[in-house]
Amino acid sequence: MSAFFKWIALAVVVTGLSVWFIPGVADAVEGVFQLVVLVISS
Amino acid sequence: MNIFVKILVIVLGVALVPTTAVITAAAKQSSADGPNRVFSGGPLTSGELYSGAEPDWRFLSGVPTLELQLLDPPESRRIWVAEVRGKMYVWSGYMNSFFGKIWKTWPGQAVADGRALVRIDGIRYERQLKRIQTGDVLDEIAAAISAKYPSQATRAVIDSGDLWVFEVAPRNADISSAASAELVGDQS
Repeated sequence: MSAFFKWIALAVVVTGLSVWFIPGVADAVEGVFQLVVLVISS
Repeated sequence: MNIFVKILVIVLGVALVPTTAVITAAAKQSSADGPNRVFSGGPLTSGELYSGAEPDWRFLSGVPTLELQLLDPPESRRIWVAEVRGKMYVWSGYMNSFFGKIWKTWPGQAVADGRALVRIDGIRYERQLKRIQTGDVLDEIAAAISAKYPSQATRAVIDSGDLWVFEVAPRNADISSAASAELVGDQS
């Protein structure tokens, strides 16, 4: 499990940095999130 | 470690990645010039600041959403808008629901201090939000909302307090926050 936690921690950091710094990623996340909210609320 | 606990830890760990993506996207948008479709944004800084006579708001029938920013706190969000009798109205639903009470903070903030800035088609307008709780105009507003959007807005829903309606009135520099708060419930 220790290796799993390390991979998750790495994935979380990489995800956060990617969303913040790479243009367009935040927009893509927003689009997917909007879709999920629409599906859940319908 | 119990197998169920292991599975739970793995599921929560994997779910942490998309959760991080959403939280980061929301945090990034909170400092941007305006909201996007989902996340609230920062102050509306770009766009011409309108000055002059009160606009003919009938063009709002062709405007799906506007960007609304309160001066305090200086956060913006994208919301639906309706026009009735030449006046602009915005609203907030789900105000009686559990999630609404957690999620919908701007209506209470607008009652405390109604000074607002709206941006429509790149033009910013200084306005004053005034909550409307009485008057026949509420029937017309409910009808306008239901005609324009897939919404079940009715006078009964407004009267129940589940739907808060605000007139987006012209800004009066002499109106203080306290005075604007006193206007709540006195509109017709």
